[in-house]
Amino acid sequence: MDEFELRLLTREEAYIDDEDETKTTALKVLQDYNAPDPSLIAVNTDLACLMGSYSNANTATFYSLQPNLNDKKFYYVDDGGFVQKEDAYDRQESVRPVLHFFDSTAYRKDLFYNFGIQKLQYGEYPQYILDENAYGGEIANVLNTKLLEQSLTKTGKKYCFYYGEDGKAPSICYRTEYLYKGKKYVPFILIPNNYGGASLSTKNTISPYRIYWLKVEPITWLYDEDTHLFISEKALVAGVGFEFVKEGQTFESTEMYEFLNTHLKQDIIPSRIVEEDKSSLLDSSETLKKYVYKNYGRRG
Amino acid sequence: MDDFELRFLTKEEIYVNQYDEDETTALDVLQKYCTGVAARNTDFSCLTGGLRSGSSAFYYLESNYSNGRFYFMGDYANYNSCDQYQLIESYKGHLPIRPVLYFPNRKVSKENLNFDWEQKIYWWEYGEYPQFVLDENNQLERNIIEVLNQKLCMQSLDKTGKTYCFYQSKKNTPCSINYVSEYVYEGKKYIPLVANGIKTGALLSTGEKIVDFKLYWLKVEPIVWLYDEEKDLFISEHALVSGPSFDFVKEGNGFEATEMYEYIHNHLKKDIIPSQIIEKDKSSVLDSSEPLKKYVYKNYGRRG
Repeated sequence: MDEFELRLLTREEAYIDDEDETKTTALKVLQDYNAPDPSLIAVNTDLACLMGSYSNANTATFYSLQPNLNDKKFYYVDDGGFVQKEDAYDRQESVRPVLHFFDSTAYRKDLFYNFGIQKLQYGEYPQYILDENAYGGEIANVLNTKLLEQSLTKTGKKYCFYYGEDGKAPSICYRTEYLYKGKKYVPFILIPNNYGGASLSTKNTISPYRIYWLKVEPITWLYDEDTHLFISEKALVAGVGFEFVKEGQTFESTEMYEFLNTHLKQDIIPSRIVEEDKSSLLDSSETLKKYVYKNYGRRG
Repeated sequence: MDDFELRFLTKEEIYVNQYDEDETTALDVLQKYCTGVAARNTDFSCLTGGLRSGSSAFYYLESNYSNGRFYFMGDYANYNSCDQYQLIESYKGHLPIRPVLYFPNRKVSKENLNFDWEQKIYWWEYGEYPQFVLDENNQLERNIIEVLNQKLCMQSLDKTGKTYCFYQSKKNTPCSINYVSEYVYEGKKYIPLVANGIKTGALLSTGEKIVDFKLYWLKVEPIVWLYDEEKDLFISEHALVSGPSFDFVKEGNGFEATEMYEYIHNHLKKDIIPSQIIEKDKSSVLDSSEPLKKYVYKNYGRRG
């Protein structure tokens, strides 16, 4: 049975009225959250940049809110932390998911305080790249060499991403997760003009035909005590629009809903790493293969 | 196809005296060939450290190894004197290799060769090697790059079983020996290469500078050899690869003791022998969930 569902913030959950506090309807945790300031801001991961966001990594980005599909109005939070409205969606806007556990007491014991906010680390997702100018460069070199030989160890997990033109049905791509020395990485190679021109966390702009290695890291969620909702601290990904992909004119019929609840929902569940039986290691000719991997309720 | 030998051109075999034809000793085929004794660098040569692009690549010549001085073919485009070869120190492992191929125990029949009526020279395709990159500015090749990149990221490309060896030498540092796998896609062979610290400024055949950390796909193509009838020698049309130096890697002070000799005889000589592609049994193709896997590959007398 499903443990949780994912959605976007609604306009009401993100509305802060600076002039009349009584009109503010934003979630309490978002009102209190002020790192970064203003509180509604979410920063981009490198993945969001690679998937088409115009905003630089680790800076405030535009992220989508749940739209009003009856009057075809699309809402987003801009890089100043204000809710804005437009007549058509934009795939370059980032996705900042909201997680709702069906059991409101779930994971309460795992909450931790950080700058006065209750947070939870739950699930994992590719977020930031290995910095080739720092220590990560050595790992990136090894990963590149092994990928070119197709000798990396797969975890069995694949991540699904959407991309495409605004107003058109999305294209879907899958990226394979690999394991090296107990850590998980996902390679990305982009073609020209398929990204927004943002700078990555390394301060470098995106180069086409280059292998970027994204580290798979735990997702941090902000906990709203009143509603028991968890809001992703970061804008995780981009490239997803609001085309209707099945019958009906509701949010549940859109590609965003499909992405969140068919793909992202599975993709944040960690692949499981099981240490290989030591006796078999002795027989192994490749000493680096320390692990075997089990597909943890995921597609192959 | 293992009864051949490889060597360099000698100083005499490229010597052209523009002022006194009688002094010219260059091979007849090189005198007739459109770029003369000059050779074009392949992209693989540039990506392994070759200094020049275009039709005026420097390349190594047979040298006097015992005194530690080495000759290379100079910049023929600017050549205006008899001094077209220069000296190079042994540790500089950045010049390309333009191999000469010959068969010590047999003569090649000219019937098997091609004839260029314009230049009046024989040429031959023999062996294969990664030479030029897929060009992202060409839509067809760009589509192939995208598929190859996608499949590489999923580690789902088909290997031919062949690996190519190349050396990377940096000044005053020991050279590193690298191997890169050959892949096949829709019946054509490619190797992937990530540019790493190539600072030579050479332009690729696409007209672009080498971009550090960029992934390039090199097409494995037949090697074209120019045939010199008089000496019964085949001279590679292009400078194929760079990297090895003339540092001594074993006892002795002859060519046989150098890193270059080891590279040419242990690696390049094997690497030009084509991997063999055998079409997969059609029934198994029908059963396959991945329709692109049309081929299986046999290792054709090569290391795995």
